[in-house]
Amino acid sequence: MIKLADEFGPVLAGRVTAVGIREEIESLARQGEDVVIDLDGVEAISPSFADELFGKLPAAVKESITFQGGSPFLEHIARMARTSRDPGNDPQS
Amino acid sequence: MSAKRPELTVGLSGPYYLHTLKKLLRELQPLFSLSEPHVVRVDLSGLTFMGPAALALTLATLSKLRSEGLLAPGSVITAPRSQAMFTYLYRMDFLRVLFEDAHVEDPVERHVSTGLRECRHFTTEDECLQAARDLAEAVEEKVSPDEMAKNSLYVCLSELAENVFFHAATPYGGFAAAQPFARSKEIEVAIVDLGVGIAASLSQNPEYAAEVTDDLAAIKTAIRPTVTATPGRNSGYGLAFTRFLLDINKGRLIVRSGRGYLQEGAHRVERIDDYPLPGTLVALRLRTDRPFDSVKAWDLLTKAIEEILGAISDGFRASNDQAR
Repeated sequence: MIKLADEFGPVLAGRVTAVGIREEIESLARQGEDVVIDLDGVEAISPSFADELFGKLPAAVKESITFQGGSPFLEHIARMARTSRDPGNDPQS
Repeated sequence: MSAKRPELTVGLSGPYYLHTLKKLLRELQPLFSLSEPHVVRVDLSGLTFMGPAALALTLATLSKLRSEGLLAPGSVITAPRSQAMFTYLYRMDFLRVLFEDAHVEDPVERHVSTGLRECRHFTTEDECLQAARDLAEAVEEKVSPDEMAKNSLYVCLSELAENVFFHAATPYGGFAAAQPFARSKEIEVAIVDLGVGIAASLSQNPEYAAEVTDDLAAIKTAIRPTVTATPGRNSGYGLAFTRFLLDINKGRLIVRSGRGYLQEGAHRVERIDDYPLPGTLVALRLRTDRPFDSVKAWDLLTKAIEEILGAISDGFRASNDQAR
């Protein structure tokens, strides 16, 4: 389980910070582990952080991830970030 | 015998507010175009006031010249005659940031002033986030002990500071400052860089190159959600999120880049100015008597993105109903 608030505080910001978390998640998923991301204690997320962490997760990795503890608001952010990088929505794809 | 260096004198006098920045830009133009070392005399003797945006812009300009070795020996800054202004420049760490490698003593005792933050220089992402955190705390001090306000501001300012890191393409980083204005119940936060500017940055993306016909068009394009110079790396949410946050606050977002000027919020203004800013300045005038609400700003941003990309759905799993 990755409890984001414990590691990075109640406000998640910074694209480079998010890269490190995403790489950790991807590594765990590649090892066949189901990854639980605990959003309890998270009060705000910056758009860049959300995009980097949720938006850039490969589809195969996404299936290994479970969220818990987040408010509907945080889940909304995760969805939004993920969707805006869906291949069908990406003007660069 | 070494050749005598050419000389250049720039005088800044009177007050420089956010809304009179054109005057400062006019006076800084000779410094922007310097390409060989000069003995530069910056005469601040007549200076009576500098808001955060003017301060950050002046600091960015002198700091860049210094970093590029364009300030020849003999260059000098003449201090303001006004004791209050002189003290203010020290208080805002103008000289400490400009001469980062030197020890600058305060000539006066430093008092804590709520809402005011010393000038910051940032080049790394950690420094961006630290500057954003610090500026957000300054705003919180003046607004209310409300975690939502502080968090929202931190999120917003981290986005703006990171824009410098990712898009300005300058080794000299960004400069930021904040100051409250009691009479208008506002706090001004400014972030400046002397990088490539929004038009040059956005032109890297073929999707927007045709839209970026001038600096103003570039700014107007850049504040739209999902618009970014580097779609593989960035998302184009930052400026749009800031705009929505300011809309809710009834504050103002001011963006200057090149000759372009755009003010969003109360009293929308857009124009092409005579004197270019070789880089980007983003200033927020936040109302201290109104809430900052990142939840509502996210809601507006999501709706705007849905209008562009269609309805949102995803394949994440959640372990409980609340998270879904």
